[in-house]
Amino acid sequence: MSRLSHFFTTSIGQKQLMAITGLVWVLFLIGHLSGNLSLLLGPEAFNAYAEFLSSQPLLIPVEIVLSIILLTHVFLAIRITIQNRTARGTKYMHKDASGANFASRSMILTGLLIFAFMIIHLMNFKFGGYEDHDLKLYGLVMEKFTHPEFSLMYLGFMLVLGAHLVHAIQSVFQTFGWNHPIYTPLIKRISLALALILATGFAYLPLWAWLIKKGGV
Amino acid sequence: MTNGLNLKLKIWRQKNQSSDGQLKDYHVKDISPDMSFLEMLDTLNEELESNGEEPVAFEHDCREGICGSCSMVVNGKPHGPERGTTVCQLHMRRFSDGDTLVIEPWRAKAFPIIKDLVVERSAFDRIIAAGGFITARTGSAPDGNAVQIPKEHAELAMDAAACIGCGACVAACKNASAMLFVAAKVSHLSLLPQGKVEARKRVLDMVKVMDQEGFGNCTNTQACEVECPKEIKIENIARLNREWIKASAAARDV
Ligand code: FES
Repeated sequence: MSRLSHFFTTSIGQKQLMAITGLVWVLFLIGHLSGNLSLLLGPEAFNAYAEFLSSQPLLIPVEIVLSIILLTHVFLAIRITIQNRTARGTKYMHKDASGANFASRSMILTGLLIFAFMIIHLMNFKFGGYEDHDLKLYGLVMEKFTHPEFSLMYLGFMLVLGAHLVHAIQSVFQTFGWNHPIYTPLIKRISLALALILATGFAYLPLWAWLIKKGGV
Repeated sequence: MTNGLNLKLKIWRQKNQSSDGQLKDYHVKDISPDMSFLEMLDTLNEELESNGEEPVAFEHDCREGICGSCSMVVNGKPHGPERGTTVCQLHMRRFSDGDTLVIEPWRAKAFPIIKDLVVERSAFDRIIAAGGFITARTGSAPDGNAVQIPKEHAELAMDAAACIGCGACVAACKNASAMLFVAAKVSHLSLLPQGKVEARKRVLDMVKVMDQEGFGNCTNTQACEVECPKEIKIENIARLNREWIKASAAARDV
């Protein structure tokens, strides 16, 4: 037990938990985007995919585990931020980021925005009443995204997600202690590419539904 | 004779640990570009003293970039704008005539301000006392090649040992984290055979005290590496993380 609490109470332990819980959600995002791309194949394919997922017996347990992992990530993030602000004490009169990029400095902001987005997202789709829709989930998605303000909101949030991931993914490796003069530059490039693929991939779907398909089938 | 610089200084003045501080404006005239930053402050202090005012307190000792005493943030940058340079080795030629310089102390709860630009850094000493040394007598200098150390390890340990413990990493980090300092110490000892024996205990003990002292958590922003006057790399922080994970997983008494 004390070994476990070690991970919740020490600075490096919290760091490991942040990395592990974050990594699980990066993997989730990869799966989520891959599945969502079936939207491009039309209503049958997308609805079949949605049907396949929701009929999995392990769906609820997996959702519970993912939620716990997410809440741990959010809880630790808030606690770490409070600890870090306290550790500074009096702020500098003249600030300089000393080369730290925007993404790395704004993890708590982008993170909380993503959390808020997840709630909005679930309310709109998972609990958005797609069963009553003619074309089920496909129909609901296409209808929602034809509203420009709704699509634009999604684009904005995907920008935020991209910023969070740009720092997050490569950061995991440093936290696990994997830093090497040859591999680290490569890891950073692959992380950047993955962050961009995820953010643009998710951003493409509302754009496609809104501007290319114009909400049609 | 080169043209002297006229500068506007905004310096943090604070009477003691319990009083509130504030920035105060000063002007210095005809500063030689060949002066060091500390000599520029000496000039100001002479002037203040001759006017019967309290001189600006700041720490300094070697003025050669090796002791780690000097510590001030110039325009938001610990040790000023020059990379890989302590503020005592920073030359005034780095600035231009008419510049305004905001000079502040290191800001961290673990480094309380004693007076003006002087902060209490004994938190670092306590981290070292917790394990930043080798407890066994290592004897007198061994015969050449009697203890085999790969060249790469010797170099990495040497790079880490360049840390002068000034605290610029803490000052630069948005989280006031001391990870680069602890990482440098853990690295330089754990890379060498004499330090390997106690490596596990050392890393756990030092990190524990680091946390107790109230330093923040590392979030991999890399600002410390940018500001370190000895250019210690965050590769050392990765090694610290690695050593900590290994030690935590293997420890029998945590
Ligand atoms: S005074 Fe010794 S390092 Fe600057």
